[in-house]
Amino acid sequence: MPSELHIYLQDIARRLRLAAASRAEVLRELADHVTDETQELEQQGLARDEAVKQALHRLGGPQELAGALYAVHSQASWGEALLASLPHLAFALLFALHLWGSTPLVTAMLATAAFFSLLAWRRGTPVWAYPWLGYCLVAPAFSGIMALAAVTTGAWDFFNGRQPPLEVAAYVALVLYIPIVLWFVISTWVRAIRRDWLYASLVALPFPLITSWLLLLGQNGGMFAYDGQRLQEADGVSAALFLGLAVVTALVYRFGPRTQKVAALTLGLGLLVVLAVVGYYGNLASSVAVPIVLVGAAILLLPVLLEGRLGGTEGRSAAPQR
Amino acid sequence: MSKRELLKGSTETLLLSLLTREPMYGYQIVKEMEKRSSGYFRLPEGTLYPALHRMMKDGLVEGRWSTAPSGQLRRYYHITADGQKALADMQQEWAAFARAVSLVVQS
Repeated sequence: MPSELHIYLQDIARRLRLAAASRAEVLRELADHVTDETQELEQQGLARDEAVKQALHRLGGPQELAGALYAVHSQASWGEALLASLPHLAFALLFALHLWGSTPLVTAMLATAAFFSLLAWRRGTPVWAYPWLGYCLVAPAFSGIMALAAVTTGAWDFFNGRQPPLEVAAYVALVLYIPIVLWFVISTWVRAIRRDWLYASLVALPFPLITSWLLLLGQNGGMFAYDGQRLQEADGVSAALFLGLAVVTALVYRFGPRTQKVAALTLGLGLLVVLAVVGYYGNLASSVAVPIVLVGAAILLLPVLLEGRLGGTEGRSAAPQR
Repeated sequence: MSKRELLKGSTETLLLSLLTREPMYGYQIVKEMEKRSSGYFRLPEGTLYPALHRMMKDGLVEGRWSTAPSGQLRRYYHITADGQKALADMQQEWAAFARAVSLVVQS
């Protein structure tokens, strides 16, 4: 049966949401503190159980202590907040300069995001890396959706006796590509959720805006037949929205207490989704508003709902045994 | 003003003052504070580690794991050069504050 100290430390570990190395150090320090105090209280004549209980009481409730430690450790410096906001700022600049049609530039930006993500992954994923990870997933996620749409259309044509537009080999490649890309996107996201659902939401932050922009592109004839002039008129809105993402991200990183972080993310994303719908389509009643709002809500709600099912933070089994 | 409130505003000064004498680990700090203040200060233990970690993040102290005389591995907090400088400023501020308070109280 786990000791009272072990249960206490497990509770702290679950609430700390720190990187494994820092979390282990904090837990070890707290465990040593309680052990020292317990020994002293035992020397004063208290029974062991009572001594542990009193030592834990003096250290305070796990929720308060973990909350205070989380606020200290999770508050990023201005440099880290800027680094985390950088990919959003780069996309704001891309739209402000009307350069989103430049395939080499967009490819270079997404490749840079992938490079930074890989670098961060190898260094244990520092907190600033999560927004970069989001842009790293943009190309695989949307290419996966397009592959799925192509396969579905092809299958529909085939079963209705029509000639599908692509060769059989191309469909085979797409069918193989979809599960690979699905695995990559989901496993990356799940890894972020296991660390902290807040970071998973930051990974997914650009998706409602990119989805709404792609819907706007679709309304204007699609990727290869767009009305450049009409879309460029929306570039100011796009630039402002990505700038908004950068501000929301910087606030989430700069705030210490978790309630402030959650408030910044919730209010910021909610405001940006409304601005996207109003800015792009002119009114909220438009039918395209529904998918955007749904994607926005999913980003906020899915990680927090999944965190419990996926085992929460990686720290549940991190409490040192005594 | 309660002792707890007074302590809250001076935690950093008290911690740096203790650590300027010798590096200490968390529980040792609590005991040393109690001893040096003749039992007047019993640092709320729940605030000790957040305060130490904040000071570590601000570069005022440095945490180093080393073996205690008991043979156990402990995180010892060492005051840094920035911490020494901050402490000097705090002590100067404290002296001016205490002088001003006593002038008003005794007048």
